[in-house]
Amino acid sequence: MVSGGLEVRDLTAYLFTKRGAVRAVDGVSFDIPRGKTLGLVGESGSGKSMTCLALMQLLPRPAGRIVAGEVLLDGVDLLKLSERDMQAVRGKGIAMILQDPTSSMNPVLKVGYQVGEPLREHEKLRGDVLRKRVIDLLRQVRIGAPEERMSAYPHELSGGMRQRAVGAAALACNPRLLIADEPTTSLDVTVQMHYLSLLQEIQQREQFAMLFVTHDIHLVPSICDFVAVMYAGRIVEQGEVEAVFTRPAHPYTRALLKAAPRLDDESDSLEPIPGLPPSLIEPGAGCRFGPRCSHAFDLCAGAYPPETALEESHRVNCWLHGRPA
Amino acid sequence: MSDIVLSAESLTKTFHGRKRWLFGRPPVIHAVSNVDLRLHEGETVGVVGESGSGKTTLARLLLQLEWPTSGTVRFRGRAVDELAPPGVREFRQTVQAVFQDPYSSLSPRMRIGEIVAEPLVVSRQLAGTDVLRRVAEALERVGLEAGSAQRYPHELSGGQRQRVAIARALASSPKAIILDEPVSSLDVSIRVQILNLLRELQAQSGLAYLFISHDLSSVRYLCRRVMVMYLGRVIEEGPAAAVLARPKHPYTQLLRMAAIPRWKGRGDQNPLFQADEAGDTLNLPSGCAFHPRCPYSAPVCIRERPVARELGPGRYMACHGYEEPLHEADARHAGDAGVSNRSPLLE
Amino acid sequence: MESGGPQSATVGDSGGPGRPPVLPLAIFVVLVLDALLANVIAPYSPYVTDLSKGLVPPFWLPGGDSSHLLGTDQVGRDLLSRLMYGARASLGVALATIGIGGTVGTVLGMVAGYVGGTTDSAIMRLVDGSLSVPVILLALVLVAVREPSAWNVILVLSVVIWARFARLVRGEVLSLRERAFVSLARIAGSSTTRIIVRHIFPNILNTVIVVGTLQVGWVIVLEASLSFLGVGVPPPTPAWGSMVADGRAHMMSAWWVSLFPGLAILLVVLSLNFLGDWLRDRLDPRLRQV
Repeated sequence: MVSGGLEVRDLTAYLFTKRGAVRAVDGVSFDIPRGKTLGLVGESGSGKSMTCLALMQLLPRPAGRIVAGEVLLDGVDLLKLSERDMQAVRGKGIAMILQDPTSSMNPVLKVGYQVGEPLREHEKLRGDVLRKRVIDLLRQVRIGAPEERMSAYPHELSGGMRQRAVGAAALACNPRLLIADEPTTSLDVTVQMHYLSLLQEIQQREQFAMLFVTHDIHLVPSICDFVAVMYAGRIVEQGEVEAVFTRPAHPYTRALLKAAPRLDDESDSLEPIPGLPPSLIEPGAGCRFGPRCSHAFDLCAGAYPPETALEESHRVNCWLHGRPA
Repeated sequence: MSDIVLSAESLTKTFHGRKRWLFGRPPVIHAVSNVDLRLHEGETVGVVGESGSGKTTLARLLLQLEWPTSGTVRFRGRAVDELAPPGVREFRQTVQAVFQDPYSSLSPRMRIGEIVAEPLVVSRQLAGTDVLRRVAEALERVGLEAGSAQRYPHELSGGQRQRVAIARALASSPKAIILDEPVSSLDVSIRVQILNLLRELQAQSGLAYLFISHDLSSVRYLCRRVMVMYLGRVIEEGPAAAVLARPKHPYTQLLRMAAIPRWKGRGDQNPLFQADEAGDTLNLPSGCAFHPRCPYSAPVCIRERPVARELGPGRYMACHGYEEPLHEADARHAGDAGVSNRSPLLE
Repeated sequence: MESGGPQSATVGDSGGPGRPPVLPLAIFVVLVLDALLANVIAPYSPYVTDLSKGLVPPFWLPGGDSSHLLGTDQVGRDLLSRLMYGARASLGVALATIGIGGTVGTVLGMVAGYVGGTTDSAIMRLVDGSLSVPVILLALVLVAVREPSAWNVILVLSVVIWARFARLVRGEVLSLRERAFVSLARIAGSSTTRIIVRHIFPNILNTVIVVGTLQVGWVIVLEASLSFLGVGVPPPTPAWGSMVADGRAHMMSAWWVSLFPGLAILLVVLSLNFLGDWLRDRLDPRLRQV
């Protein structure tokens, strides 16, 4: 494992509500080397957004709490840091982009001001030096006429430009990890295409690790090197993109791959995934996908399947692959 | 050729924004410009476009939620603004809608049964127990239990709510349903369930659909014909399978390219990929609205707006380059820009 | 690494939005029961005077006796009984005002918000007018023109209250109007009236209830002010405001005549405000747990 990058071990975060503890993130482990991207795929309720919040230690209070695990960024366990030290990490060591660019920006502050905020906070830049950096950042994210656009307000930019401005703010301090939580979901598809290529280009240059969260599994191969599929708070399969996409092992992964109509796919009927995701309060002992799985058999309800290594870095939690001797 | 249920001629809608300063002119937004449309009974037509294309405004115009600035909407040949109240009632009964957001589509304080019954109650088609029966039937047709009529919307999931919205649209036995992004807010696995439901319903009842979406794949899955809109105009139209597999207009080609996932690092050579970001309906470019982004634009594209021309039976395109072989070559490119990821393990 | 424990409770807080705040609710219940059953539970009639027993102090002070627990006013009327009967005036006027003003305001607010255009402008000008009216002045004028009566008070207060409802309701309706289910009701063919009644009204009901509850306290204070000035509920009907006024001349010597009615007003209004806050938290769907 090359030094640098993100290592997450058994991250567990619960939401404590009156009805019980919601196991939003239940023992999640993955690595993201520097300069590489991991796609975290799951539907709503899978825990992917909670995982992002847990990494940033921004779980909703007072209900959310990290219960166990390690989050190592370049060797330092973030979970052991004090809140003050963690604040120094947020925006500088780790940056995050959210789904909705409209609410990511303050509507009454100019774009240039907001893009420069991390620089002001972490690098203490001011005045002309700050201005030049901001213009440079805006240019890097391919926003035309940055000198004028700086003085614009968020609503004067298109959705795609807003999202790029948000990206500029995120990348201002050269973070070592960028968490992108569904950054293209609210963008038009052609805008999305450009945005993803832009992200890749910047990543090639700056070599940060990227966690790309999405509900659309088909976005993953265009930008990610690795992929992890999440269901009901746990990762059920992960590995290199090529491996997981050409040889998907977990039935849920396969179902996700087949579940969306594809333009280049001539097959005329789609198979939906029956049923609904389980409650995260009492998920039960067995495999959490079991009740919806067309391949389920007797072992599946009894115990949670352990991790099985299929090939170099391709792992799956499924009794179909990990039958005990 | 079967009857036309709904049609539009030269439909145009412009909005006026707020004046930026006291003596200037208020900005004009050309949301929809000169759109013609014909929806026959039993036909499924998709309308594809991104934000700013005018597809939602088009839906609202057809549904009489907005008045056109010019042009006519016709219901079974009669202009809708000339309809007397019985005609209006018939229109409402015949043309229904399903919208994108399942969370705001249902009145929070009404029970599901009442929500689904509303079109019936309002049109006074049925009364009393007949209404209850029809509601129960509608709920069952969309895959919900009849007992859910007693529940409130907040007790249902997004997918279930959208089914309720569909049940309500079906209640009055309409001939046409306008669906504006009906599955975009749903999870991927639920999306398929709803798309399949829509397909079944169409096959069973011979409903006409006007299916509006930015997602080319859903449109191809559900629709026979497709209209592609860009900045308020229809720029390409034809059989869905042909248009989406081998698009002729550069914008449609761009859409197709964006819709097909590519592997990391490949497929960026296509000149379409360099196309700049979207225009907006506030500052419409001269001539062809797409020319600033079009890698093939010629001087004529800046001067003159292209008129729709017939390329083949039922196939139209508005582009000056429709004769050029360049488009054919690039249409082929756009076709295989994606790599198939069908694993041998999949059936 | 860990976030804080449960937030510390504050006065008037319940254990989360589940249960209503106990003390305010108890006070409110006592108030209602008192208003209803005053003629049964009050020890004396509030009208009977006994000049020989004027200004008797409350029973725990020297000179007091247990037959008049809270003492008597300057004409010998039992303070406790008057206090109990006074609740009727306060509560009665408040409920009637909220009822009339609230209904008018809600209806006009819905129409203004949904229909828009010139109707909206017209109604909003009326609202502005009502809100600019100085309440006390209007009451004084009315009394000069007609005799003082409880109905005059209700009329005057309704004129102010309706405008508050109208404004708030209109605001809610403006945003509600844009929601998909309203468009879909139009598509289903529903008439404007039907949409307002079946779709708009049930969704603003929460707002109306919360506003109503919070306004009751304000109306009670207003009524008391009017009675204090002599233009409210006319004597001899006991009303807390006029009771406070009665005791003005004896503030230094027989302070209980003014103090107890004043305390009653304070307690009731505070309780209603706490209850209104709780109700608002409870009924606001955004706070509903998943």
